[in-house]
Amino acid sequence: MVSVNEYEKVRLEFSKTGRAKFISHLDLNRTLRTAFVRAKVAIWFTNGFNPHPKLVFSLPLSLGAESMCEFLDIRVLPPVDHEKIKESLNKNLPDDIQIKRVYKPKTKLEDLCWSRYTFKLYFNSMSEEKANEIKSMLENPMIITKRTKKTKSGLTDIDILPGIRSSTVVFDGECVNISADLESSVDNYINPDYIIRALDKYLNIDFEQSGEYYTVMKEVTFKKDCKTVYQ
Amino acid sequence: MNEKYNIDGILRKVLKPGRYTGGEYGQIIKDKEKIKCRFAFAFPDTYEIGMSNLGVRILYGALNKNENIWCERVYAPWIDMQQQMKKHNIPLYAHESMDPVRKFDILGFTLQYELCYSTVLNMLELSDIPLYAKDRGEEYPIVIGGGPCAYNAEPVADFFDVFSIGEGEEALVEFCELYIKMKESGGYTKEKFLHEAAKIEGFYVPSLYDVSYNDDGTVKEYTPKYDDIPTKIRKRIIKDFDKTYFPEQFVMPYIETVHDRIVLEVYRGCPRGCRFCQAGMIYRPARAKSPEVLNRDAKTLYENTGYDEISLCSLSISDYPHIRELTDKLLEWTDDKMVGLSLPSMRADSFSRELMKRVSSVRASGLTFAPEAGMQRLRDAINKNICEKDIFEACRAAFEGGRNQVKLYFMCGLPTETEEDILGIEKLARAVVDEYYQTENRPKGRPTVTISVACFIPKPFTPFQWDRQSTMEELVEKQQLLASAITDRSIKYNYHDANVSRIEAVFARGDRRLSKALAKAAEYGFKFDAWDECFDYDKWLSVFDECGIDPSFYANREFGEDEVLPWDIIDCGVSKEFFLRERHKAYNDTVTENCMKSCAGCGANKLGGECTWCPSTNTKK
Repeated sequence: MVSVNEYEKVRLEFSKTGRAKFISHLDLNRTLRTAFVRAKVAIWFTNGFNPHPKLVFSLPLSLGAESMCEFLDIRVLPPVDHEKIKESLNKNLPDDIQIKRVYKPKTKLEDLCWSRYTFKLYFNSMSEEKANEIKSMLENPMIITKRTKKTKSGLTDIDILPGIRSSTVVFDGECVNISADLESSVDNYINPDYIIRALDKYLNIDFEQSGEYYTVMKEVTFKKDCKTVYQ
Repeated sequence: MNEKYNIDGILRKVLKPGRYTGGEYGQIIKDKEKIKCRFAFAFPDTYEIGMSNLGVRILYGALNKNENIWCERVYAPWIDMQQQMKKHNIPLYAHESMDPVRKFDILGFTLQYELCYSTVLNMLELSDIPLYAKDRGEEYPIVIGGGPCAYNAEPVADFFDVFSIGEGEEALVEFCELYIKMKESGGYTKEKFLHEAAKIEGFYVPSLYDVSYNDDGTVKEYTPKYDDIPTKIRKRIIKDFDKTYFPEQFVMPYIETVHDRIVLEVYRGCPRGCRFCQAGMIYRPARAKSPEVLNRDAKTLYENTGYDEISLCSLSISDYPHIRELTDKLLEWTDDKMVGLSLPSMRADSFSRELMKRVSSVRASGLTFAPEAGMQRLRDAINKNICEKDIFEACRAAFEGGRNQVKLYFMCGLPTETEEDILGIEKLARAVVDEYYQTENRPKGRPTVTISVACFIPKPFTPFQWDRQSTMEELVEKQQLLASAITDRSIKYNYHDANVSRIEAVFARGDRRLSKALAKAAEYGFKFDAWDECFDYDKWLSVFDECGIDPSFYANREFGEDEVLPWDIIDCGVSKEFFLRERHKAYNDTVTENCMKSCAGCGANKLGGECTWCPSTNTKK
């Protein structure tokens, strides 16, 4: 058995878009596991009773959101050819999950603290005015009930405003576009779904009518200062 | 508005949206413009069940190998998704292109179990396709059925244009080719096409056969409407199993499915001849693949799927003559690559400790044996040729191999069964527990012996096809008798819902008059009858009542040996005389030796092919 130290740490930046946005984190894990085998990328297996390839992800993407910037750390047996890993993996992955970059990581996964999301909202009463209402909503406290393990009821109310930065809201004639940086640290993870829930709670935008829908895309991630791009 | 985005919106409102997205690795996308025949392959159950079916995987690959055909997958959306689809006017669509099923040339349903019939009709409704074949004009797809239930498809015959009888790898491609040829030559009409299709071996066009009935309700005769179509439809088989198509790639589901692994079909058919077993009869003659071919396929599939488990699949895997050679070859590379081997339920007799050790060398998998009956006399009557000693030895081997759990499958309500046989199940289970404590190098702790007891359902094309199913009262009484006999806490007792088994029995031996009940059931929104949360026995009874159908006529009546059976229109290769002989032997508690030892003259070897155990045609031993 080759010791774990002989393997080289490699980071993959990948996108998860289109139909793959409805694939849960657990299922993503399984999909990637088999893709590594197909691509013949020899990654490190855990040594336990039930050996399995070790994949370490950045914080999971919420179900239904697309992303251009997900991160996965693996350990690969040298010699490591980053370009070759990318190429062979992409051939062996579904079209909606594609590797953008393979490189030696210089940061910890925990250094990822902020994510910029774009929301596109298509609903029946869209207008400039509605966009302004949304804008002012995003600048005031928003109380969202979320699940927690800390209280007896399993639920807790939080204000998500402190976890939102530099938000813009634009109505482009077709849909309302929101761009917002949401905190995504281990301590305070603002799920993009909270924004959707706030829209329902404060403005009654519930996407229940036929033809109404929204999309969420994670565009880029930042370090703690919310300026330096995380990679 | 773009249709795809509508789906996007509703997928946020349903459980497990990954069931409906498509887009998996390995799915086949073709250029619509270059395709001459679009085939929607529908599995009338959930995605997780349908994606696990090896037959679908084989046929998906075999059809798509042809450049003129594009085969796509369709599954039954779960109830929450159906509600959303109805609310937003989204018709049933195929996974690859997301195009509505209604727009396809051919819509195929695989009929794996009778309880899927209501879901078939439900899927037609979701597709906006009229249920009855006679109501469908040229603008609708040709609806074809296949799979084990097609051997007696009479209850659903009015809803289908045609059935593919037997093995479809070659037949379905021929069927599509005929369709393309007739479309290209101009003179295509649905009627002409079906008439031509009825002339191909293995295709049954029910509308071309009239059925008449006797005063007592039994079938009088089947009359073909044309002279140039067969009076009996003979099933198709693959002649050379080593050379037949086997997929080199599977569609890799994103979400977890029931059997999410490589499945190798080691051989088709079964040499055993258990008298209740339909699969053991309709897949005759038994044909095996060589270990070389299997090992090659396993390697290819491993490389192309990345799965870490290979399941060896057959009706009776330990009877495979080259099992040692095959596992040797596989273990040469699977251990290194952390790939586990697993086996389905096994017969206890030919089970060797060594085989089990081999299989568990990478990862432990469950152990299941199927004694089927508690007493030797009954095991002889049903021709389950194993004895108590075999079962104990197999269990002992399992215990010595470090396991403390075994699962035993039984049936209740078998022909000739007595109270003693039912109590025998408990005795046998207790003896297995004793065997555990007598095993010296057993693992620590208490054993768990799980006994799972199904209700006997008489199936077409078996020696017990004439026998009646026990009534509900009898079945419940037997289940309770067994429950009260079990006192040992190491024995876990599961039994099947007798209600479900009865409905299954009605449709298994049903005739065309049952279509009325199915149409009525569809009207009331029946679907997913194989699911506890959906199945409603009382509702079924009232549907039968409303349609003037007596379910006992089909389930609980002993059919006359000289009666014309609804499925007599099909020739499955095994002769009716053989079934009769076997039935009479059963009533004398006489066994029939398996095909490996001697030929019982079932007649299946007349179908030809490289039969593994059949005399005269045998070239492979």
